[in-house]
Parts: sequence; C-alpha cells; structure tokens
Amino acid sequence: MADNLENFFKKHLSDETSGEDNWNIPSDNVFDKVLPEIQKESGLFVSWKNIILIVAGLLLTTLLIIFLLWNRNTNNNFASADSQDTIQTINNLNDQNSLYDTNENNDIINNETPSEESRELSNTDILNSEESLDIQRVETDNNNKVVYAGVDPKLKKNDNEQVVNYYSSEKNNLKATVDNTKIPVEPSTEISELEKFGSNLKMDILSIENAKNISGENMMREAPETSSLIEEPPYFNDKGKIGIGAFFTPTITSTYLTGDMIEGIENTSPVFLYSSNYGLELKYHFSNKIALVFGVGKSEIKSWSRSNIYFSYNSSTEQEMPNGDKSNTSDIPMPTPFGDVATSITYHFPGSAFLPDGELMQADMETHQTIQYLSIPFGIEYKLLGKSRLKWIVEGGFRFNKSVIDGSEFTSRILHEGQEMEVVGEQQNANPDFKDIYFNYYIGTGFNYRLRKNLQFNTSFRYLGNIDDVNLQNNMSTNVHEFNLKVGISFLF
Amino acid sequence: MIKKCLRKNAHAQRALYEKYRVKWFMICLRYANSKIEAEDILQEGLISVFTNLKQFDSKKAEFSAWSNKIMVNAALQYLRKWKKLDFHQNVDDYETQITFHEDVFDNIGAKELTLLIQKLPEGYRVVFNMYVVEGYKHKEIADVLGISESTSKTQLLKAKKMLRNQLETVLNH
Repeated sequence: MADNLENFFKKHLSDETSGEDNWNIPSDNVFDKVLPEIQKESGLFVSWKNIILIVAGLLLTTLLIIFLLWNRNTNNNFASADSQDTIQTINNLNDQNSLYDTNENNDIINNETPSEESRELSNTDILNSEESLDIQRVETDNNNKVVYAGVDPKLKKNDNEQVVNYYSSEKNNLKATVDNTKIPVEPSTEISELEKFGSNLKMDILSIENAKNISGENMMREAPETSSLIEEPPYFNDKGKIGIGAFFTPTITSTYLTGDMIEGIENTSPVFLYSSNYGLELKYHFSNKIALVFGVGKSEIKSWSRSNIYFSYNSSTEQEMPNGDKSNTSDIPMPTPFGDVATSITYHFPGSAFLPDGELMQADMETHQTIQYLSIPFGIEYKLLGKSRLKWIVEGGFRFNKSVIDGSEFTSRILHEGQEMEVVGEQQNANPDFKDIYFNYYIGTGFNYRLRKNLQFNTSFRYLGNIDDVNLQNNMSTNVHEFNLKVGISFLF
Repeated sequence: MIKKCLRKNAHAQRALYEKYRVKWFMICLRYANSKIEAEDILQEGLISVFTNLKQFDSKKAEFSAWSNKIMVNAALQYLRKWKKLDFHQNVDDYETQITFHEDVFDNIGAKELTLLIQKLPEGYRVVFNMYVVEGYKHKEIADVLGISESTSKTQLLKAKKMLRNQLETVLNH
C-alpha cells in the first residue's frame, strides 16, 4: 500500500515544469551527439536495400559457383585431348573385334596426322594394344580444336538398322551421333572434312542431348541410346558482332541526404523514389562470351520538399479590393534541396486587418521537383552459362551522369500569426538552376534470350551506387543507390 | 512521426526527441546523481529508443510508456556498467510505513525532490524510483535487478527513511 510519502513523490515528480534554470532540459548537444549513431542502419534491421543486396549477392554467388563447376567439368572433358597435340587413341572397349568385323565400312574414323611422331604413336597404339583397335579417335586440328569422330560400338546400328557414327567438334561446338549417310567417315577422312561435315549437319542430324558431356575416354561407354535422340538446340556465336538495342529500366532510387538541410526546409522526399530509365545501347562482342557495352540513357525522378520560411510584409504593394478585403503579392524565395525557387504569391485577407510594413509573415510551401538524369554507361557483359537461346550473364561497369533539376510545381500557404490567408495566385518566376555531374558504378546479373538469329531479349537485375557524392547544394550531398530491372531488346549484326 | 523516424528522417527524429526530452531526461536525472551523468544515460537511452523503434507496437502500448521503460532500462544498464549497486538486506530494522505531513512540503517541487533522490545511494535510488515512480512491483524489481523481493523491500524502506530525514533537514534550514 502506498503511503503518503510515496504519493507525494509520485505527484510532484510528474510535474515537468522546467523553471528558469531549465533543470530538467538536457544540454543542446545531447541529441547532436546521438544523431550520427541513430542514423546508422541497424545491423538487424532488414531494409529493402539489405534484402535486395542479400538476394543479389546470393544470386551472384550461386551463378559463380555454377559457372566454376561447369567450367571445371568442361575442362575435364577435354583434358585428355588437350594433353596431346596430335593423335591419341582413346578406345576401345569390350566388343570391338566383332564391331570391326561386322562394320568395316563405317567404324573407323580417321585421318591425317600433324606429325610423323604422332602417326607413329597412333599406329603403335592401334597395333600393339589389344584394346586399341582404333574405332574411334580424338584429334586436334591445326587450331587445337578437338575433333571426335567414330562409331559407337554399342549403337552401331540404330533401330532402323542404320549404321551410327558420331561426330564431335569443339570448334563447331557440336556433338552428335549421326547415321553414316550424313557423315561418311572413312579412315582417310581429314579433319577439315570432318569439320565441314559437322558444319553442314546443323539441325537435321540425329543429335543426342547428353553426348556433349562424354569425355574422350568415356565417349564410347557413355554414348546414349539412339532411341532418346533429341534435337540439339541451335548454337549462336556472337563473336565480332555488334548489337544495337533499346532498354527500359524501372528503377527504385534511394537517396540518403547527408549534411545540414538548407535553412527553411522542413522535410524532403521519402528515402525511396521510383523512376524509369530508358535509352539506347550499343554492344560489341569481343568474343562469344564478352561484350563491351556503351550507350545513353535518360531517367527522371520525382522529388518534393516542404519548407517553412519567414518573410517581411511589404505594405507598398498592398491593394484594396472592391469587396473591402485587401490583397498583396509577395516575392518569396522558396528553398528546395536544389536551390531557391523564386515565387510570387498573391493572397487576400480581411480589410479590417492591419499589417504594418516589415511585419513578419510565414510561408508554408511545398514544391515538387523533377530531376532528370542523362547517363552514359560503359561496361562489360559476360556470359556465364548457356550455349543455346538462353544465357545467364553478369555485367558491370561505370556510368557518367548529368543531372538537371526542375522545380516545376509548387503549392503554398501564407500565414500571419498562425492565421491562414487565402492564396489566390502562385507563380514561379524562376526554377532553381542546378546541374551536377557524377559517376556511379553498376553490377548486375540476368539473362539474354535469343528470340531469333539476330534478335535478342535482355533482362538484368542491377545495383547502382554512386562513386562520388551528388552535390545538391553547398552544405548537403546525396548518396544515390539504385536498384533496377533492365529490360531490353537488341539487334545483332 | 514514428514512421518517419523509422526511415531515419533526421528531422522527425529530432522532433520526437524535442517532444519527449523533458520526460526522458527527468527519468535519467532520478537515476543519476548529477546532470552530467543523466545526460550520459539519456544518450544511451536515445540510441536504444531509436534503434529499437521498429519493435514498438502502438497497439500494445503508448509510445510514452514504451520509451520511458527503455529509458529506465538504459539507466539500469548504465548503473550496472559504471556503478556498483549495493543492496542491503536488513528489512526488520525498519518501519514498514513512513508518514509525514504533506503540507510542510508545499514549497518543494520536482526539482528539489529529484535532487533529494539523486543523493540516495544507488541501490536505494534504483528501487525507490522503480517502485514509487515507475510503478514496478517488488517481484518485478527483484527479477530485473537480480535480487530477492525482501531486498527490494528493504531498499525501498531505507530509501524512504533517508528521504524523510533529508526532507526534515531541508525544512530545518
């Protein structure tokens, strides 16, 4: 039970009167000391920005891992071929003797060797090894491109009793089984002819989806069944091509103001702003994987700020109206984060009111700004995965930006001693003259999809961060971060 | 305003601070023994309030009550960190209720009472504040401070006795 001393303390301690000595008011600098600390992002606070960054990071990491694994796998596939410059006998397996006997016309590949030494090696392998009856070979041509050609011992004949050969070439990036009418491989067939056959096969061959994964040594063992033949997707090599396209990028822009707000400004736009960016893009494909990206884009951000400023009443411009009310027009410089906007506000007030010259007046104003950015990107696009229509890409680069501000719309309220006056006219005499140049960088990942031979659809999720501060005014700068989804289409020629 | 504070709007944060600074600072003053110490506590408390603002649920509590509690916790943390909270446990030596005539203290206000509280030893001061001003129960105080309920009661009675003596001293002068 509370006694009267407790009640006494409780009652009197709730009195928040400060008195003259301000005993219960903290020093002015207390909040200033705390402000930098509370402006920091909390480690546990999962903002949109953090979520997007985490997702983008995970995606990039996943793509990188897939790419590395895929790359390693590819290297392994060609390792045996890479280790020898000339001819290497890679087979044979179980039932090669019977194969040889029954399929004399078709089961040998081969051909010319780059050197006598190689030929000797080949012959030795063929002649001395019981397991090397040489129904299949791996060779490299003069450009060190691997060519496989031979007969699948298991699939010597397909369901239609056609003899099945297979053909594989890194140069043409083609691995397929074919019937021997399509590649009439003979022991004397030269590499160049094999390449030519391969080039001419294109879509009408009997291709096997997973034949591409068969290494030289395992090719015969793992040759797939002809019954599962499917069509090999088309392969597009963009090396040396130039792409011209258009893009559109819905963008979320976050702006973090740092520094002191210009005097009079009470508030500005929320942190996240939507903008759209569109433009033209030029790509030069150095190789099938790497393209240099150049272009020009334009984006537009809608921003706003609210200001509360004081101005002196000018009685010399005061006018009496027929209905007895008074009218005046005041020139008021409206502060915005991008500089002052010169405005003229016309307002009415009752005729009974007397406003002396120099009377302190209050203007509560809100302005909407349009910030236009002209950007010139310069970057690299790299294809991570995919050889057919769909390709995963990563991209990165720099962007040169020039921004121009236009404070085109505004509203205003005029107050005198808290009393609102009727605003009847608002005129903007001059926009804030603001231009700024800054650089930012971008990284992203996405997909390219080949719609047609020379037409490509691109999409990429990107993060953009400014390298140097965007100086909106002398005492305030902005850190601009953007997240966007770029959607574009390009024509390659 | 709170939504704007969550978006790290510095103006909104300052406005929120301006609105509650007296209330918060008075809490800090009661737990501290000087204005400088109270400002240190206030700084810690402000950081806690703003960084934990996303946990505030207006459906569950008033902002004022929620933030006051954070300030009290900040004060307790400060005292644990920088002071040795000394609690004594002899409840039997003291009266269970202290009475006095309220009218003699008509000229004493919040400032004077706060100064009296500041002169209490830390242990007394903390329990007195938590029980009398913040409205905690002895069980809750015991849980928060890691002491027994009887210790809490002892501290409160000692605090009240000391305050009574101090008040008498003030009046005699």
